[in-house]
Amino acid sequence: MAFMWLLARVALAGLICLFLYRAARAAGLVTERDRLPRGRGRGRGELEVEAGPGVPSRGERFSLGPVTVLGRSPESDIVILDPYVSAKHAEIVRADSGFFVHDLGSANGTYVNGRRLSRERILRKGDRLELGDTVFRFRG
Amino acid sequence: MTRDTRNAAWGRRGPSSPDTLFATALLPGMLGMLMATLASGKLERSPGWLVLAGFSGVFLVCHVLFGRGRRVGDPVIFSLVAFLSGVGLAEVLRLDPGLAARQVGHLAMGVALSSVLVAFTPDLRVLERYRFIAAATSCVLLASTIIFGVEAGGAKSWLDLGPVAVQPSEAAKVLMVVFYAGYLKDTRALLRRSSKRLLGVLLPDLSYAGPLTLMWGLALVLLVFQRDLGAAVLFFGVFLLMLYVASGRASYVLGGAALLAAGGAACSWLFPHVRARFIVWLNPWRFMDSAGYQTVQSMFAVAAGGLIGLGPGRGMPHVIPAAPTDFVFAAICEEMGLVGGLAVIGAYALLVYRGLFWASRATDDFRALLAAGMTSLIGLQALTIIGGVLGLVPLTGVTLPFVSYGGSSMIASFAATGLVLRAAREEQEEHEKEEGRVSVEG
Repeated sequence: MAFMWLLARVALAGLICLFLYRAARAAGLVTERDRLPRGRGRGRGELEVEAGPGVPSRGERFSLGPVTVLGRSPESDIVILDPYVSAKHAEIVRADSGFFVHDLGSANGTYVNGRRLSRERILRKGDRLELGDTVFRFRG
Repeated sequence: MTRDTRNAAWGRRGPSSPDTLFATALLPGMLGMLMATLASGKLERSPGWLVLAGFSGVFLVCHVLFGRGRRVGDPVIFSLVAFLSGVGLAEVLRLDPGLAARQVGHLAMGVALSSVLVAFTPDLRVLERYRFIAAATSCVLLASTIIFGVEAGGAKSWLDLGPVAVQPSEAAKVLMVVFYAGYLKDTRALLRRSSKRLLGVLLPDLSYAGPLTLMWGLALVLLVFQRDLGAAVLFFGVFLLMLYVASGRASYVLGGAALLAAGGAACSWLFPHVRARFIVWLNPWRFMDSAGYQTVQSMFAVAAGGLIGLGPGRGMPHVIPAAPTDFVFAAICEEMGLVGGLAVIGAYALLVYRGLFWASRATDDFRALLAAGMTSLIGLQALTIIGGVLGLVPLTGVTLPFVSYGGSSMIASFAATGLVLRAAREEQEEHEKEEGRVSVEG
């Protein structure tokens, strides 16, 4: 009987651990960055500045690499000096099917054609990308 | 187009499907209840069987009604809540079978309320319109306890309604979060853009922060009269966390924490029962026969549990005063061990993670603030009482959400969860709409 009770206690602890493990896995304790589809897509991507508070200036063009980080921090690939832009604001990743933009948890959000991004989104030719007061146009 | 990684992860079968996760969530609670019933020795006509059946029935019905967990908003949150309820119910059953039978009733009411909120709320933005009504109701509920309240444990927070006693501050907390969310959505831009500085710290513009401060002051005054320290900490703590979410300024939180510390010092100077809690917290062993008895017994219980615990029914957690309510965490540690205690803390951590996850991807500010606020409410409450039971922070009489015995607390916690799940579901519905539109365009 005492042995059965020990077995039951061990089983209870085991079931508790099993649940916690499964819940942590289902909760997806992986970052969005790891889950983005990556690839070596052909085609070029370019961002053109349409409006902004100064840097970068209007008309400036940036070509997009495999991963492009946009933000106020000097380490960003595209540095935007705009008080409403976060240090690491958004990221554009090249995948097989095209360029995907996603927000890196910025304070003021990233908008594509006026809609706030809640998850990664593919960029189409002519899309309007807004970070703070800075506006880009995506040229495919 | 990309596949939706989120839904792909929740396939029909396999170890991460909602069915498997949900079944795994129920098992520890069910085994715990079984062990408690076996240990009590009365196998025939034991209320344990009824409690076991009631618990599994309530959650299974809910799981099936929501498309086997697929339309519940977030099956992970739902499973975490089921796990916590099961473990709590097993421990309450072991301490007092009569209370456990009533707790099954509370659980059924809570799950029903939560389901109604998820399934029948037209849109969370409707709730936003009622933010001032929510604030007024919350204040009336708090005021009612001052006038008609019954005192229990130094705090006057119970309302005696004949056959049942209710704790209106539980409902008031949830309503207040609704108000905070609506109000902060209106003013967040203004809170962010202020540029006044005092000693290098950014200050909010008084005309915008004023009404909110007034609201908080009012709630705090009510609580001082009610002498419920735990509720005051929760009201203010959740307010600070939501202010941080809305403004992104740590200076507000630091300033607020300083205010709270000052308030705590003033309270301990004014009220003997608050001062006693502080003194006992600093050294419970000096008072182990009197005011520190509860804390010391709780520490003994946690220590007695060891790694996997003595098993439900084989420890002696009933020597801790208020074991089924405030001190249920110590009882869990004694009978389910370090594993059980850490799992409970881990489950709250995951719950907070998922809640903030949905808040961060919400496209609507009100929805984001509401999800963040309800999540902070549950997380902060759990942290306050677990810390108190272990002697890490001064003891306050709040319940452990979903785990402690108590109808008001159970129903309020489920209402908060229901709103988070609703926010998650709206987010998914909106996303699916957008996905559909994009593929039509493409």
